[in-house]
Amino acid sequence: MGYRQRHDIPDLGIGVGFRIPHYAKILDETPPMDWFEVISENFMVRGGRPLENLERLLASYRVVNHGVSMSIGASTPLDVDYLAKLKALIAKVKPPWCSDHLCWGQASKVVLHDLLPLPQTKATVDHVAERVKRVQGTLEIPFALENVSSYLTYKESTLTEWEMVCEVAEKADCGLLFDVNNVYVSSRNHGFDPNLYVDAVPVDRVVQIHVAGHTDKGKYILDTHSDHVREEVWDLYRRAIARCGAVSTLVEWDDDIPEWDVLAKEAEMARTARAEVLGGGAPPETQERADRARVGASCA
Amino acid sequence: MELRSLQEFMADVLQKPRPLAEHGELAGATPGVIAGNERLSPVEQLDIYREQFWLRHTGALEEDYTTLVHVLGHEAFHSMCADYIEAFPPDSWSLRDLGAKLPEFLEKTAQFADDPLIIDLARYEWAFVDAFDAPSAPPLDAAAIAAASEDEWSRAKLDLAPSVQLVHARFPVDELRAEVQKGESPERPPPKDVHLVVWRGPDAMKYLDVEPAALALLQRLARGEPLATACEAIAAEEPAIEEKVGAWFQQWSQLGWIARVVF
Repeated sequence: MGYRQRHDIPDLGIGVGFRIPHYAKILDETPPMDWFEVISENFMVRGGRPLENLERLLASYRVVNHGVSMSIGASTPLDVDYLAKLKALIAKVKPPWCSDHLCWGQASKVVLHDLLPLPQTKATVDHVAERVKRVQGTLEIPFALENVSSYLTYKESTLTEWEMVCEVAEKADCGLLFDVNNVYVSSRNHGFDPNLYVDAVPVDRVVQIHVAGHTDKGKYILDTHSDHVREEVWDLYRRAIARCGAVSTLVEWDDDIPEWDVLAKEAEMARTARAEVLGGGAPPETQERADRARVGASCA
Repeated sequence: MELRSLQEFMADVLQKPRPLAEHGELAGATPGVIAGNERLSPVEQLDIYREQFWLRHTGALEEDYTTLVHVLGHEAFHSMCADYIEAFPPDSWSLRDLGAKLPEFLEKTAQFADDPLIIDLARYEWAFVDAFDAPSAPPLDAAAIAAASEDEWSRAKLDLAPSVQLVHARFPVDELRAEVQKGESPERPPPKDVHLVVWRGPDAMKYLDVEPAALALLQRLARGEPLATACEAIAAEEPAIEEKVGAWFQQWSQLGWIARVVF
């Protein structure tokens, strides 16, 4: 049985991030939206306005928390205080899964507040998988890792990024938050075919998909979440949905945040793209099952 | 290279305010770690992350210290940020905590140590950050207060609401901040003592300039002194304390500053 089935991961539909410029609109008017993603760390606070806002959001919508600071790939010890606070947040939000990034962001005692890529090696796979197991044991809910965008390559990398992602997920037995914009950004920065990445991801482990906008800086692409989703990314999204089926999808827009209506329209584009692929709504498991043998081979 | 060594090397690079190419030793070691590609050299690839580190951290400090940015100007503020982050590298998983030690840094830095406006403004702006996400307090137990005897009041301690922040400033930093928040461009004000309480109201962040003796009393209560002891200590500078304290208690209760009376 696949990861999603084993953990009864639901399809929440199409969601967007819960961001400050839209708080009043969302909390006062409760516009139609299938679900919201909140940044975990913004609500791992002592109380006050952030938690009041979260409680109001939870009263009207399904919510999933997504972290940015776990630093699962760091060589420093896992932060037990952080995990305790995250677990307390999970108890409030009651999400069907939670997630963070396959990256590192801390060295010695310095926290870099970035999603830094990891060397793609067997040693990294072992290191991260062991830590993910401990995180899952602590949090006691399904945990998914998100693939990050990257702007550099390590000399010592011996695996492709998708090989590393697959191996970590298999070895740790965790879910994946598959960010197709990050796949696109990294493919442009490092010159690989993004379709290879999409086709290699173990579909039964994909619990959520991210789509977002990015910025072309000339010599490289920056993952800015500051614009509309580009057509190339929608193409990857359709390809991913064709493989994964109806997976909860989140439109990220975190900088130069537009009016609510613009963001809601972007979410509708995701809904349309998903419907185009899924047609009459055939059970997602059909495609998932068909792909499983092939994915197993690609992750071996 | 071991993962730990690689990450410590990169962390060193990211914390450099100036481009990596200007740091000969680190730049020289980079091609041994980072591969680069046909468009970007190893140094240029790693420098993308260094640049992002500074944009992110300086941006977070700008958000928390908007009035300080106005008073210092962007260039001087960014230069101050570089010195601050070098002195106090980010050590919390939450960016929210990044600016917590800025007032302390300013007090200890020669360039700012003799500038009370800068130091007091930083303390005042940080008070809003602390008040914003402080835990909420349950409503006061009015029945217990009404039923308390005189003897119980003589031993009573007042717990202030967690969001209440107390700031004595030597410049009108409240007016300065309010003007900047309105999008105005105020000049550096002349000195004027202000005694400020910052707290989180039901709908918005609030601040109030109170009497000097009221702030002194609140500071003593915040340190856990019993109400009677604190009033006695304040009486030296405010002989009318006994007449005022009843009205203050009523006002502070209404404003939500008092979380609990411990008899």
